[in-house]
Amino acid sequence: MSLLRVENLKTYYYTPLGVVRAVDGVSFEMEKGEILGVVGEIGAGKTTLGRSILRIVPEPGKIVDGRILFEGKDLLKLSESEMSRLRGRYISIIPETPILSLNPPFTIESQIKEVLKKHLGYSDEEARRETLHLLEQVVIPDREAILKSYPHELSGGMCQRVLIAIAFACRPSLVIADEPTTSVDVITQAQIVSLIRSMQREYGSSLIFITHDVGFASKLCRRMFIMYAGRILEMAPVEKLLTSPKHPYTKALIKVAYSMRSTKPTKGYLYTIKGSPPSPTQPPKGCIFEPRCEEKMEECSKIDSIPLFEVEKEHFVSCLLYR
Amino acid sequence: MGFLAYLARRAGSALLSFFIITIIAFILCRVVPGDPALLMVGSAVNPEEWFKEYQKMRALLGLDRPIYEQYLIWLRDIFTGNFGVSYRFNVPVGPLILERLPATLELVIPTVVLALLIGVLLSTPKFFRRMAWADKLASGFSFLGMSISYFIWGIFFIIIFGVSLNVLPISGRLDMGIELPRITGFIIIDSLLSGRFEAIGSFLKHLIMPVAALTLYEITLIHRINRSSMLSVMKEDYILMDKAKGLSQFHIVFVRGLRNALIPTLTLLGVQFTVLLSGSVIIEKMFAWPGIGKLLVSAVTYRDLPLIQGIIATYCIIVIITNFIIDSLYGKINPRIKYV
Ligand SMILES: Nc1ncnc2c1ncn2[C@@H]1O[C@H](COP(=O)(O)OP(=O)(O)OP(=O)(O)O)[C@@H](O)[C@H]1O
Ligand SMILES: [Mg+2]
Repeated sequence: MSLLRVENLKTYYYTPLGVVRAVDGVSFEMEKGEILGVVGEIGAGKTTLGRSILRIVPEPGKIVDGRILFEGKDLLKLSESEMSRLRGRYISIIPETPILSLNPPFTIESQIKEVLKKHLGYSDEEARRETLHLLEQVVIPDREAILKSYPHELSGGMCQRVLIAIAFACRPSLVIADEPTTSVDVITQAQIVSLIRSMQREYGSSLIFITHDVGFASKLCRRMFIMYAGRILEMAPVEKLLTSPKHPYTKALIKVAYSMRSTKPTKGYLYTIKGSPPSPTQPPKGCIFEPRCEEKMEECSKIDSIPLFEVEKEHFVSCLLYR
Repeated sequence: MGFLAYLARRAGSALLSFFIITIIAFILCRVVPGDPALLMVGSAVNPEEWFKEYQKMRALLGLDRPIYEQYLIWLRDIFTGNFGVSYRFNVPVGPLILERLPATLELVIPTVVLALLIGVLLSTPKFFRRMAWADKLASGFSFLGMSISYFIWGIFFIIIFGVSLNVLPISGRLDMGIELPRITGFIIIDSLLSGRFEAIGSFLKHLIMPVAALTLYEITLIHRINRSSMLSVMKEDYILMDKAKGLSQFHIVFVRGLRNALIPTLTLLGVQFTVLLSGSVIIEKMFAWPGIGKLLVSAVTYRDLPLIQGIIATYCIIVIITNFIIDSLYGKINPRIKYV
């Protein structure tokens, strides 16, 4: 049995301007211990997907359809109190906005200890010892001082480390890391990624690694999928995706990534994808990528909800070219 | 160190505002129409004689001196603790105010505490899915209550509970026949100290209507401001994270959310405390409550300048103390707020 199996998940935001289909029919599966990469541009729906799995989608968002099978149980059928026993204990999240994600008037100590006390029933003394141990794990110097401090006294990188400690505190089966590298500088990025990697190994958790950076995802994950306007366009093991991308969007994305990273002088040439992502409230008919696609065919704008075709073992593409 | 320097700065600015406010009050008292000396000299047959009397009265009251000299004399009187002598009662103003102050505080303090508790409580159902009806009810009440002021509630209560049903006393602080030695002036404290516990019950019965009249309006204010600050706090990323950690909604609302939302509410509370202090005048008058309000009304009617001036100075001191307490609470509630 797989650890997590998401089937046809749909999460919409009902805004005054219309319905935003942030996650629109996403299905995937992951094994115990696996690191799965989720790659997508701004607004692709990555954060919403992560929050949907924990069932913490904020207003006016709503999970409207689908199933989320975690260790065989459908999370969407659990009561709110059953769900809150699971959150932070078996599934946890490393949020994308570290400096905004610690509650300002509470000390770092209390914000780490509370998960240990609530989920593992630790006494105050045990929780304190474990908290110090966790801070050591996430390489925080001057631990006693950090424990007493308040969130605003910490740098972004430090907040990120504290949040990683909280996420792994109860040795969860699944950790969702939501763009953990976006809000820190390049040197810290590498440190944070390797930290998450080592925590994941040490604690034996599975990991969903959300990022907009194909490069980071490829260094960390065995498999990844590409998200675009709420849908999965392509899913494959990392090498396959990098060496033989199938979907026109993936091809373009990888070209962009290479041209950004290339150290050879490119004479001012940077590859870009023309056009912009579709309007969230009025997506195009047919294939969601069709308006920007360089290989589009006539049927592309006619056939709704193109499924994922398996082109090779473990390699899925949502594109009519591979029908 | 930091805190001492902060205290010194606070004391400095407090002193400055005290002087500014009392000087303004001083000047206002002397430019508004109505000459206290005029009110105090009786009518005489002979205009010439009357005018002599009048001049003598002005000299007696010190009103013939230049205004800055009058102010300096008043300042000197403050330091002797008597705040001048009341024209009407012919006794020092300081003790006169102190005698009445406890009764007013007995109204205002329970009002502020109750309004805070109830107002905050009413602002929370919004954040529990099954309590939508309670939020609608609270908001409806709040909307209605906003347009009804203290004295309308007061009249309403007197008519219903005091007269029609005749279940609550409509005047004073204690039933007739209950004698209580005055120790602090606060009835609950005095009755505990003197062991006259029957006074407490009688006092609470008298307290219900005036406090209710004052509180209902305050509740709607607290409810509205706290609800709207909770609405924005509950959208913050840290609240989502608290949820992701598995904290219960109850804990998130009442501990994690409220602590962040309370700052604007406390600010309002501080302002309302001082507004109530003078706003309770009408209620005190209505319920024959022996507080400062009644004193102030008579002081104004008789142009009792030292008394008016003394009451204003008292309000001023209370405002300064309240602000200091509220400001220190800010730092306790939210560590991001530093002493500045
Ligand atoms: N609270 C909300 N209310 C309304 N719309 C929302 C809300 N949160 C997200 N959306 C919309 O849902 C879509 C997906 O947003 P989401 O944050 O999941 O994307 P993302 O892939 O995480 O993007 P980013 O790279 O910026 O983190 C976007 O169009 C966004 O505008
Ligand atoms: Mg995001």
